[in-house]
Amino acid sequence: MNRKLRCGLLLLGLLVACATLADFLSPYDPAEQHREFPFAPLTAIHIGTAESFWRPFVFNGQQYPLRFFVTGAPYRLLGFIPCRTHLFGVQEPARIFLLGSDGLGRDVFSRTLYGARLSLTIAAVALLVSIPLALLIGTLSGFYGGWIDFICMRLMELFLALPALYLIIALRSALPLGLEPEKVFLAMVMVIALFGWANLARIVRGATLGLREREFVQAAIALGASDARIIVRHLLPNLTGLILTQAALAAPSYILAEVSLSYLGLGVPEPLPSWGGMLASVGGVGQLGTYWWNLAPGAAIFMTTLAFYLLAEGLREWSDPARK
Amino acid sequence: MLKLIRQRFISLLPLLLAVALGSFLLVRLAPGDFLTEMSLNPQVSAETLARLREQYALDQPWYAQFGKWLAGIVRGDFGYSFAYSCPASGLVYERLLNTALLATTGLVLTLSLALPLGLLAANQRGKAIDRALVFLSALGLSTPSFLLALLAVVFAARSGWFPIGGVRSLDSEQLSATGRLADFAHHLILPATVLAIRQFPGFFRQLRAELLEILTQDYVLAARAKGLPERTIFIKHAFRNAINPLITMLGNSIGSLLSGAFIVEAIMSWPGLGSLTVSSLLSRDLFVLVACLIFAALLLALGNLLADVLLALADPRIRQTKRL
Repeated sequence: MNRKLRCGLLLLGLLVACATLADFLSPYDPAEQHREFPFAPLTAIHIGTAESFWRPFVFNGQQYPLRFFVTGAPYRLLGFIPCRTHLFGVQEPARIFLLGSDGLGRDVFSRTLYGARLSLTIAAVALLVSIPLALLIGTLSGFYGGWIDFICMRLMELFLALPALYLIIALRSALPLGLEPEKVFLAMVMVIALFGWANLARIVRGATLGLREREFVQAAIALGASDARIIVRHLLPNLTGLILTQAALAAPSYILAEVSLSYLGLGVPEPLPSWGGMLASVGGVGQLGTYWWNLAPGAAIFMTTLAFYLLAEGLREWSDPARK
Repeated sequence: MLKLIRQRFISLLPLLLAVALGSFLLVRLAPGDFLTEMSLNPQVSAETLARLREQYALDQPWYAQFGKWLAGIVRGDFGYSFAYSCPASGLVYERLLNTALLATTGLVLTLSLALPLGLLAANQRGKAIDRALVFLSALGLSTPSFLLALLAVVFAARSGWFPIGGVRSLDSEQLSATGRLADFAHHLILPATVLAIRQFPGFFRQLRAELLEILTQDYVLAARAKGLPERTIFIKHAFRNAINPLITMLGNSIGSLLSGAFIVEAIMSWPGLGSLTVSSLLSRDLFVLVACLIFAALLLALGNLLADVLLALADPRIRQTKRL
């Protein structure tokens, strides 16, 4: 394992941990509106109360000590354990907004964490759909050639002939604008995966064409191995590094597709926090400039793309040590 | 050469037809059409609706509509924009020009940065400047254009040095021709820079890697042994051989440039093809949407064709094998 791979895995692990434990880490429910605190700046955390020299507190007319493992809004930890404990919080009427609040007084920190959940889930599910599809079509068309290859290639070209985002928008247009959040989520995953497979399949096909001519595959053919065996036992293992690298490269583009869709108002609808929706909901660039903490989802997007970039570079070096 | 261009154009036609058919069907899949919304407007009489419905064959099955639309295309009529009450083609041409200008400026800016800096980095391999450039390009690779565009807009809003959006100022009509041009450039510079920052790392890294590879070749050693100045070796021997993959990349990048421009346009309110696509989708402006998609595909195909032609021009070996 090289350094880039380690860094990428570490960063991605951190993001995944934030996403899965979002409800525990966030002090407030992402949809809760603290109407008295619109566009509140980052809450300052002071150190040292009258009782203790090290005690952190926030100031709202008087000192409210920062408490850990507090009881708050109920949620289900990991999706099934009913729980009310949050990592930190302060007593009402004080609020703690680590990254400030948005125009409706919602905690940006909590919303960014929940947004990570949405974005990473979309990327993971879209990869789970597009990679098997790309592997299937890519290996089949590369291995068999002929009319299968012809049809697959034309299909890929059709998908690659349109700039990806135009296609996603067009596909999204086939679905009604007002849908329940779950259905929108499903629709977005499908739309993103549908555009994502073509490029992957082309790369897989190219690699398969190269592998097909190699001695070990020719030997397997000569020994009379079945096509399925050749593909599964000889081709696929040799494509592992390539596929992992391409997956790491594709993941951020899927996430960005989701962010763009949400930014344009075509993504998951409002009460659900999504990074794109958060950035769009600030409304107007002037406000984004003044209440700069609302750019927090942007920083999260950067961290995510950085993690996947490091991962892709690391995987490339790991799978192909000769070429650096 | 001409044969290549002709062949590509002929193979382009079925693709464009497929794109048109696909987008047509996509829009049809969605419930309702633009007239559904229009029928809610009490100012529009039932007769007008019926007339429009008949004129664009909206009351007939999709294949009849498609046929009618296709017959119009042959005459250069791309249908009618219901939302803007004008022919779709004029609308799309203007936006297309804006997008093409933005993408071209971005690309020119990218290349004028990436080519000299790539040469410099390869020349100074391992030194501080090389390491700094490699680090910066990694940073640029993991910063999505989405985020860059937002930051650029915030920057424009806070500094006041650049307009926040659009292609011209309110008073541009009163300006002289040169003044109008300067005004346009003033509006263009920020979005183009965002595109360039996004595109730069790919080209830079490719060129640098290619140059480093080439500099270990025997013919470079031979050139050094002949006593050629380092400058000549770099420009005439190494660089000349390193541009092939760059040209291929140029063709591929036009697609990502269009997609990248899409979101940059949306965020920086640049009236281009991307923003028109979104607005036509949201208002169910069928003919405009289809025209946008077709032109996006056409732009991409032309980009690829341009790259092929450039490649053939740059490399005699490719000219030979393709027998042009």
